Amino acid sequence: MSSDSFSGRSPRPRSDFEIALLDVEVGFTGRSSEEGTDKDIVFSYLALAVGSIWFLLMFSSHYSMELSERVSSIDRLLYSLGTSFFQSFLIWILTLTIIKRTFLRTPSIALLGVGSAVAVYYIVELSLEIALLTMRWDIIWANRVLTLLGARMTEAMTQDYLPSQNWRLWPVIYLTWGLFGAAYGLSKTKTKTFSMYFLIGTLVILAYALNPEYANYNVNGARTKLLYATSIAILAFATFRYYSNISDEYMVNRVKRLILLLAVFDFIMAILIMDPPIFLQSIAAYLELIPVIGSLFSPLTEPGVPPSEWGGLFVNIIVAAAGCVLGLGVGILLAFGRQSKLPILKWPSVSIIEIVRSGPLICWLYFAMYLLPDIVDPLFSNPEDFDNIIRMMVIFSLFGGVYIAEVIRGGLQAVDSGQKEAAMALGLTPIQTKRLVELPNAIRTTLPTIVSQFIGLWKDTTLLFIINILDFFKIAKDMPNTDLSFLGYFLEPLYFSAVVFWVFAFYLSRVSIGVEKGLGLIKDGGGEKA
Amino acid sequence: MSSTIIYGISIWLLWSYCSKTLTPTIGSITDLSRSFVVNGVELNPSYIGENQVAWWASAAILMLFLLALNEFGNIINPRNLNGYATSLFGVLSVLVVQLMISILDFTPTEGLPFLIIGMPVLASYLLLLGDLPEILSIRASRGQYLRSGIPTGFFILLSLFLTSTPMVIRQNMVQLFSASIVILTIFAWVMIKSESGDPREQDRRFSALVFMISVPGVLFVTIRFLLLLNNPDTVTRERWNLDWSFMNDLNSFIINVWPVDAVFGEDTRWRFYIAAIVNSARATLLSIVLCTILGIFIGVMRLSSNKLASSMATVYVEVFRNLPLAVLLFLIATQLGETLPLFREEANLNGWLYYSNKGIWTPTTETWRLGLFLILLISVWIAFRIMGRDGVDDSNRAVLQRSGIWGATTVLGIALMIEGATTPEVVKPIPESPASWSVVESTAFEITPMFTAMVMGLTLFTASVVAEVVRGSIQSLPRGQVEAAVSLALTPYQRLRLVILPQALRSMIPLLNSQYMNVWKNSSLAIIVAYSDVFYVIFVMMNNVGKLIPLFILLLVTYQAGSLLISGFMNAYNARVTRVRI
Amino acid sequence: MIWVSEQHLVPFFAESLYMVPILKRTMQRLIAATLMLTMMTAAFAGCTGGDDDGLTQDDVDQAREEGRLAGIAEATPVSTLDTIMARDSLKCGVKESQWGMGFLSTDGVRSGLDIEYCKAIAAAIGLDPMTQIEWIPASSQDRFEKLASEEIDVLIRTTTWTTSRDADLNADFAGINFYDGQGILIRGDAVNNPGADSYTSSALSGANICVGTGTTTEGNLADWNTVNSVGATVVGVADAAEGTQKLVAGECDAFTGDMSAMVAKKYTLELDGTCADCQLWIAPELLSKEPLAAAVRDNDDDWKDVVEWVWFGMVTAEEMSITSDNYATADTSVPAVDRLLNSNLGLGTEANPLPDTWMQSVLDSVGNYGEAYDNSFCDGTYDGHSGSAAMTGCVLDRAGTDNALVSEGGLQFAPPMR
Repeated sequence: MSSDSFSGRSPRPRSDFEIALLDVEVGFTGRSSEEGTDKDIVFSYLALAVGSIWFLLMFSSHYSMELSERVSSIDRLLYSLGTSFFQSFLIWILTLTIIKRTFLRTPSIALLGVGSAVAVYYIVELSLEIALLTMRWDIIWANRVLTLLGARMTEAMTQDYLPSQNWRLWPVIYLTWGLFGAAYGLSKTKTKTFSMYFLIGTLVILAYALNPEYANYNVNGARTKLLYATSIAILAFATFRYYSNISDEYMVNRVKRLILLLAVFDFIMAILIMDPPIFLQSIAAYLELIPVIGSLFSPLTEPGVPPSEWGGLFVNIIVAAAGCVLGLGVGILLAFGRQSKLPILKWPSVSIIEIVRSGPLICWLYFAMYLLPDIVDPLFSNPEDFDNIIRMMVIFSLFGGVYIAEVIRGGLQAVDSGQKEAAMALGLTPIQTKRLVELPNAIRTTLPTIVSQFIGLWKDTTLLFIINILDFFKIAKDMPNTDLSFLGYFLEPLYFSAVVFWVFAFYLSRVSIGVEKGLGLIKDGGGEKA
Repeated sequence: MSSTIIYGISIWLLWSYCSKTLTPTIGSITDLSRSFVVNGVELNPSYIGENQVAWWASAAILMLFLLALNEFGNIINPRNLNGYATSLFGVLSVLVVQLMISILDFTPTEGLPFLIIGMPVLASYLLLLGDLPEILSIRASRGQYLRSGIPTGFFILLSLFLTSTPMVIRQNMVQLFSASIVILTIFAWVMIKSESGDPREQDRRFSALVFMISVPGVLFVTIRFLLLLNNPDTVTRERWNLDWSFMNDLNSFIINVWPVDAVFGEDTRWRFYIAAIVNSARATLLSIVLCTILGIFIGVMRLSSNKLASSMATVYVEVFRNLPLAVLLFLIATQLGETLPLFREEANLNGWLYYSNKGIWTPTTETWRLGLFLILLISVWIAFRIMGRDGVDDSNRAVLQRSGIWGATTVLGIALMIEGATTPEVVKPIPESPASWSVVESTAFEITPMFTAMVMGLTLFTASVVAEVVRGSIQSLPRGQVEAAVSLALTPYQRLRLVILPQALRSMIPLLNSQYMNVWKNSSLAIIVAYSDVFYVIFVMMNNVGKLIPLFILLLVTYQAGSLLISGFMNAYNARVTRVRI
Repeated sequence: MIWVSEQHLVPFFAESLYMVPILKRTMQRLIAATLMLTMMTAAFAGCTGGDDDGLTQDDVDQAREEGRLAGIAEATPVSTLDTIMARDSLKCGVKESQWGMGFLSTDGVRSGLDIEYCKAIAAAIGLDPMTQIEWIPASSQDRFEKLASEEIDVLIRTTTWTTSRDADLNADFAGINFYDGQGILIRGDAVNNPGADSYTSSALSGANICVGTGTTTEGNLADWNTVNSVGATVVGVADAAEGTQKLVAGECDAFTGDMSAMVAKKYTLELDGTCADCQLWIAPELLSKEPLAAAVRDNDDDWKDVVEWVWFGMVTAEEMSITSDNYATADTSVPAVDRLLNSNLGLGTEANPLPDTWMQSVLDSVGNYGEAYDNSFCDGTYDGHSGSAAMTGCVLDRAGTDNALVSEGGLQFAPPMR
């Protein structure tokens, strides 16, 4: 705020709002030629005024635009708001650049600013137009259950000659929501942050699931059950947050391990409930005889939905989860094998890793579908037990495990040799050293990369459609051809599936960043001035 | 208590694994070695003879045995026979067994399986004891001779006189062998956990344990492969037969390839395969070039001080990194099909570039002009390298001069090309039927919509990862370097060229290497946009011919070769960049 | 066997003296674990009770084993029918995107002539067509692979009967359920419709024609293109869904496939109003014969007979005017009717003969040929015996086509059932 050679007169003191405004402008358009004078503030207000006037003008003109009757008023409002806002934003930046002549002092920033604003405006306008005006999302609303659960479950729900099987998945959902709340309760996330994001997520899910338009299921029942799940999650969060506040860290760690085990149990339970194997059916038959709670188990005595009839998002999640969980185990074994000095461990591991890595995943999916059954059929008493989905889970674990093995191997090599020597001095056997010293160290340093491999596996489940497994993407992209009421809506399901996959992957990447921060692995470097 | 449960479960798992793998193995060995000749015709389609079966099984087990012995280091001193005596012993015993099988008569149902499965079990027992080196150098004690020799002798006797043993043993071979493997594993585990002996002993025991556990699995897989190659069921045999003669037949479907021609009804499958590889390669190369340029641009933009630009770059990276490539390709292909104008609208840029959802037609010149342009560029580049061999002049004046010469060359070359260029010409044989309108082939260069979608999808997807790599390497530079460059009054261009880029490239190149290999492997998704790449062609061939394994091997070899090429090239470049130690 | 006391045990198998207590502890643990395991295994073994109705998978395996022991590597292969009854469900390879032949709607209900055929087979062998069929989607690229690797029992998926498929691909064809030809669906705004009388194949010169890869239609189109010097560009697509999308977007000017598929596609597109200015028309020529039949594996005669004669039974029922409404009160004093409705004529295997009233189950669940055709292509109001001209609301008329009964001049003929 000292006197500046440009004007020779010291400017009046500025309020916080003005300081913030000037900072933002410098960030977007570069340094002003009038910096440090009163004229600066005047110009800023002028630019703001121009921008607001433009916004109002544009908003009114867009809102009264000629559109087909299909477009609802909310869509029209959102579209006009969005387009006008970004257009006036562009005008504001242009005005600022011209009035303050920032291109004289910092030409590159000014140019970048204008260019980006133009690009942003066009992209936003295009997207809003596509999303709100031209796309007809009815096909998505009409097929919510089909894309989620597949053809057989939808048939069971809508037709009378098959009993509905949707009850199988609600216990899994309750448990998953509960574990979700518990995991966040034990972590270091602030309560405010968690509540905000959880609220937003719940509202989105409720809005999606409870829209009565085109619903071919009982919306009220779904509402009740979803509210149950939400309250379980909140309850779990509150309980475990309270527990972690009053307990020591080692006790919290024990509970964390328990939660992890419960998550694995959740995954296994999902598979077993959907298609109870014979021994589970017999156990349920015994448990049915217990007087009070026995009736809970009676549905489990029937055979369920065989894996060949699973479909939808459920299949994607199950295959990805199997790939991640089993892949981690396979990866750890292969990593240790590869870096061992015993040839009997090293050479087989190296050959497995190199052979599996040489081909793209599609290759291996095809192999698992048609060639693997030839090899392993004698191991099954009933060869038909080796279902499509099981084959996919096996090959995803192998493929994921190989890449995770490479990552962990890097981590193992980075373990300080002093640690290993100390362990040896303490008398730990080699296996104990590996289990208690090397592996935790390696996983700690490589956990973000491992999570990014998980994200890759999740995205790769979209390839299941090539071998005719009815996963979410295949159902979504074939809907325009099989849904007689919505033929020809080719693009909407594709955009919808892109968004769904993106949301899951984005959430996982946020988790990975959170993990990185928690483990203290983010470093600061230089180079911004480049 | 929990450790007891874990022990119990592991023993049960081991037992079921052994019995599950050994039972079909015995059945398969019987199938493969039983001859059933009626009137001089061999009626057993899987018959390959006892010798073959024993040979393949022993070869697999021998390889495993040699790996477990870990005596490879000792072969360096060939004089010291004791160093690798056990390996020689292993090889010798395999040969002896082969001899035995050809001379003596081992029944296919009992004798041969007993021998084939019993030998590895005995070998693992001997490995575990570790007496063999000493026995072979005749330095062992009596106890060692006894405990190694007696079971060996017992086994040999049993296998020779198997028919005189009680039925119990012969009918329950699986249980017998599984039990012995389980017991041996338990003892090995006990010995390893006893923490006694020097690390070499522990290593040996651990190798022996791994050998023991892998024996049933390896035997199962080897014998299974043998059975699959000689399967009574013709369809399975077709699938597994390692024979590439069908590739010399005419291909049965049409593909769209350039520049190598593959005509339906005239060319063999090999030609279609080569043409498809060229297709894959050109899509990959173009994507690599484009995604590097776009990735560097976005990575640098992410680091700019303009908040708007950097947030836009962040949004781009976040969006495209988390989208699955399959969905993105499908989306781009469909959206392009809907958005690009119909061909009948004859949308064009001033008559030079025709674009529609059937393809994009660019002007084309004679090939020699293109070649001339390339030669011009290369000669200018060589000239500059020669002039700068003692040191490149980085002053502003020299940089301007050089840019001027490059610009002039480019303009000259383009003018040369434009002179001989032909614009796309649309002919309309049936004016009322827009479907018959087309662009005359010699006047334009066609870019198919499939190629466009493929390259766009790969570029957009990979550019986001490359941007992250670039940003990461530039950000990981020590702050002091850039500040020192600024304080030395270097211009931004000089800063980039002399300080930032050399250091950033070091960390970038290995990461870019893996990204380029990913581009090559991701090009296999071309089946989604119906672009005829190598995977698509082999996929359709697999369904037409049913010879899965030969085609699968071709596929793996192709992708591995491509990865090795890319990797080799990048490693060479890396060596050049890291030649100067920083 | 050499008996050794504990003292000898020590140097024999353990390498140092302090191993003994560890050894003892471990042995104790192991014995406890083994006892526990034995009890667990016994418990589980008791739990796994098999089902005793009819044949089990074990019996099937036993049969194979006996064949093997007799010196023949693979005994007379077990009939697919026995495997199906042991598994208690029928696996049909079907299509999901062609209205009229094999279609899956978004509430999970399947419809179409192929679907009806599969349901008839299930009903005939005694399974419940609504709950005991596993519908396996088979694409044109992997349907034969699925059949050969026994993932499906029967392939009823608009598959054309050709020599090479019969001879080369381990498939046998049974029961032609639809006589079709190859047709071309054309966009009128891209290729002017010259009218049915002045149509020649040169109208399609220069047009982009989409065709599914791996189908007979691809080869037929290429041959037609060459023989008639049409000069069209052939564009391969992965499946009919992609082809439709390209047709609607304008990338393809025409789409070729079975005529029934083309008619169905035109009908559904016009019904929905998608591509309203496309002015779709179908070329009047048939490029080839396409008899669509059910396919089973080679050397599976009993099963093939069942599949075949279920279809012939449905045709015979319509010939005799027996429908799903009147089969219960049909006049069984007529010997032909009695044979149709009350005897299994030797169909089925020794272990699983077809029930005597198999045709009644078929009529009860699906009806006769005319009713099945009506439910797939027309409005479902056909009474089952009045003849093709009485079918109303048909997208694809049966009268006057090859699909009518022989008595009406078509090709659907059933050999005598006796």
